[in-house]
Amino acid sequence: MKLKLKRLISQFFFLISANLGAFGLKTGFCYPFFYCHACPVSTSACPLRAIEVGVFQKDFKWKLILFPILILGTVGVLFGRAVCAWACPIGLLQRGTGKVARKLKTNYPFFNRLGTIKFEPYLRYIKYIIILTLVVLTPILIGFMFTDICPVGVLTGTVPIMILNPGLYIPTFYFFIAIIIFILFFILIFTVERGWCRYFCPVGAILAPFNKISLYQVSVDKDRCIHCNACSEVCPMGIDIPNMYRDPECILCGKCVEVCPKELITFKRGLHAR
Amino acid sequence: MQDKSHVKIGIIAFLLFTSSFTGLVFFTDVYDDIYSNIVSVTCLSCIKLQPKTSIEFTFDTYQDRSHPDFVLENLSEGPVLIAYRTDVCEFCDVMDEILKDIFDVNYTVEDGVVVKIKEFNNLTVTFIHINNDRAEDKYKNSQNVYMKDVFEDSVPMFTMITVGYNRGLIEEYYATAYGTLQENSYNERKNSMFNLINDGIRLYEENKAGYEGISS
Repeated sequence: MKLKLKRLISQFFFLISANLGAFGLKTGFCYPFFYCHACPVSTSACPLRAIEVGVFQKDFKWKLILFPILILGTVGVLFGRAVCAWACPIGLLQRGTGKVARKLKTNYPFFNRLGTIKFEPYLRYIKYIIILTLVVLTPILIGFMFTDICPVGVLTGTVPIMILNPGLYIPTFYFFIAIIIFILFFILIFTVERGWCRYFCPVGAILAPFNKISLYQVSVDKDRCIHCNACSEVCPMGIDIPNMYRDPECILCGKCVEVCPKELITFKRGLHAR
Repeated sequence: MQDKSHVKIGIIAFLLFTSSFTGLVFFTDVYDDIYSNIVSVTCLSCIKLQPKTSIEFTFDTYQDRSHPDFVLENLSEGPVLIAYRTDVCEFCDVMDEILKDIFDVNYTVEDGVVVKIKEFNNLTVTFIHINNDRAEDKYKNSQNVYMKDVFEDSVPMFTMITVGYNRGLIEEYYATAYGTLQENSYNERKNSMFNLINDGIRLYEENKAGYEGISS
């Protein structure tokens, strides 16, 4: 079975398991990916919300802070950021919109240049800034939380609730800010492939450092690489793959593994690493 | 070599994470905490919406559940206003200031249950503040009796319990409101809260003579 199909099956499996609330299954766990518990059929809690509630207004509840970090840490140590490509429902959404972004990139030079601008690598630090400020600092200091304006909350919580309960809710002040962010989120994922994962996803920011020590990784045989760049061309995260070593941005989607003409890029299990 | 050392760190980290996670799940109440305070609560700040309620009185409790004892005990003296909140709740903070002002009471988010009795027009009104994250089960479970429409466990929630005429009987009669009462300013919200209290008092005055729960 092709890797592409395996990944699609995995993504749909996790999409369904994230929504088992539809069958009455609700748990006290946190998702190891980005999904909102405000979704009417959600199964578990958003890891970011648990952290925010844990630090809210200096009332440190260590259990709530540690719990999502340990869940993400366990998954991260095993698979690195693979959840972004294999499990996250927002990743699945971006898989669809990524096709449009890729077409725009191919047909319009402007979109092609977007990914090559000099400061693009620095934009990737935005997600770390978001997690430190909006998920940790502002909830501690002023009570303002990332989930107040989260575009994924709008997509999976606000929109379904408004559709299911027409006329029963009215917008709050943050609604309008969140809608603007939501529109920008959609523009981003339609114009930059995996734009949310690359620059803004706070859950990705927690998982990214684990790529450095994860037991599963994508490995490149640099000595035998012919530098055809076919791998970098297909990489949805815009990584310079021939020079990659445990890159925090790699989501282990395996596109580079499939496309390498010399089969020099492989999935490596940590215990069998060279 | 470099990779092998990374893998060793990975294995140590994996063992640390899994053992800590197992310990946390089995030896603390974090699972229940996440379940009852995040997963099973409609997170109004996550959906950036607040319920639009009509503040209408009704006799029908959710799934015909009984009124809690602590409400009935106080209801024999006058109407009861309950304010439900959780630790993390922006609108609760906004509404708490109004309630503190109306009932001349002081409390913080750390107080699980606070009861204050105040006289309005020669009738005592019992105000009960309940923080679901800190209150005993009998208090926090009472929210399920009074939740209206589909707003399961939403906070802030305010319930005014009074008495009313129901097909020949005087029975417990209540109205539930949510959020910032669909008002924009402090004064408007305060007025709406006063209206809710006054409605409760008026109904109580009109029907108290026939209410069996009233002592003497």
